[in-house]
Amino acid sequence: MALSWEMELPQELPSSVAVYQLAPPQASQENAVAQARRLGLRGDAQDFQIAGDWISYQEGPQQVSLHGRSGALYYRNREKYGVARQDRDFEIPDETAEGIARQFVADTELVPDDEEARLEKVSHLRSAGQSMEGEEQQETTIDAGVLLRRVVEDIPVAGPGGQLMVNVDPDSEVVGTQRVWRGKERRLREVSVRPREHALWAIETLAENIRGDVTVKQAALAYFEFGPLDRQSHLEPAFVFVYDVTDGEVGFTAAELVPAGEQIFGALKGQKRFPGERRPRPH
Amino acid sequence: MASVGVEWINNFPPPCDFNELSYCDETSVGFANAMRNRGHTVVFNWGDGSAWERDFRDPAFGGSDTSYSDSVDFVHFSAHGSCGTDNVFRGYFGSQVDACTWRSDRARFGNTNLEYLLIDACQSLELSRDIIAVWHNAFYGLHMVFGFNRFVSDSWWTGGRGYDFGWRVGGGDVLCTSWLDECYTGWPFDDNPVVMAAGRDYWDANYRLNYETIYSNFGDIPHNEIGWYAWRWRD
Repeated sequence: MALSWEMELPQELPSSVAVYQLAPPQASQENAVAQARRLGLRGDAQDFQIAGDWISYQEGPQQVSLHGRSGALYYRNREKYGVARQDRDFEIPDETAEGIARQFVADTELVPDDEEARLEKVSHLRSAGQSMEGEEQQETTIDAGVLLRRVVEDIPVAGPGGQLMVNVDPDSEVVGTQRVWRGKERRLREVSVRPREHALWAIETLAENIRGDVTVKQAALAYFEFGPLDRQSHLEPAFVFVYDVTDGEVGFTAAELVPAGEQIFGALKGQKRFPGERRPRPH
Repeated sequence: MASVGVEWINNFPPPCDFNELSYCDETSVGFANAMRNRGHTVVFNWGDGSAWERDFRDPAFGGSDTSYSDSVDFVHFSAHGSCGTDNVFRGYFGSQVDACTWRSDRARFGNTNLEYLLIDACQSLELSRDIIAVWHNAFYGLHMVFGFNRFVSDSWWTGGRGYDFGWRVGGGDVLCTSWLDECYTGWPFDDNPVVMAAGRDYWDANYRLNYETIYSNFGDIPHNEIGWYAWRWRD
């Protein structure tokens, strides 16, 4: 194995970081309606769907969904979200799209007052194509997906959670939003942060057992928040490493999380949700 | 109702000797579970040494996809993948039945049944390659390929994407936007999903990306009537 670093863990780390107990998710018909009203819907329709852990409220083409395990919020205008327009191009500059998204977030109270939503990037949904004769379809932009990253007491939150995307269409209309942002119940206490050498030892030991070249793409001290499918009890610090492995023609991306606090309150990883069974198969 | 098959590989012992993965079962079995929970039928679920390359190879090339990958509406494959400068996608298996790698130039899908090919593997729709050259010869009634640009994460924290996608499309959500939404991740994983559709012309291909669901009855297009390919991604 060869271990290389495209990003290194910062030399300067805080001596301590707060740990938060997370609030139970709120996902009920009442919450869905309340959320819909904050998003600008009337909230007077009676069209609800409960499917698995999702509860959805539908009002015309607009749908608001909440997840019972995480409180994740999805909003879509199903007539406009993800639909490539033929009548106009997307010409909104990134700074303008960010402004539209931030105004939307403020108007709809999607981020608690005591937290920061830092711009991670302005992504774009893009479309391209080609005929069998080689005629190319001009690459077009369908939307701007303004991706905001959660920051708590100046510590970023990494993961499939701790993020909010606001989708802006060519008419400058918000046509979708996805938020995984668990509520904080209470600030528990501060925990001392382990030395960075502790984290480096963990990733170096891991890399020794991987065949091929290991390249660390992301290295940070961060809070870590799970995705929409999972319950999470605490928001606590971790050393986050995301690395690429290249072994000949084959490669992949993986992650290693090392608890960063001297005291650990919850799990940073769960059991497999859908473990596969190895069943023999006759030839 | 739709029919589903999945094949996933975490373990790659010799002679098919590659680095182990950890969560390919999560993505494939998650997809199958979600579709089942939505009322669809899971026809096969083969993992590790029971997942075979010949299941994805057309009989025209000596394979048996008519009994497996091409016998269902959706097939989900999760394992190692790569796409070289030869514009051939390779999917990697952990047992040599009959080969350790499946090649996109030995595939023809849709001539039996398959409409949707889901490849949760690196470079399955690699935008730095000619994706039409990679996949055109696999479209024999196939509607769409769902894949990833560059590397894709193998981790517990993103392993739920198969279930998330299956939950949405199994309930009738638009296929293209569901894949792009549920498989895209920001910091720190940066997974980049892509969807590719065939059409008779520009309007047909793009209309399918905009609106096709499992209930929309968009017809199969014979290979010699494909006039256009369109694809979408979020960067």
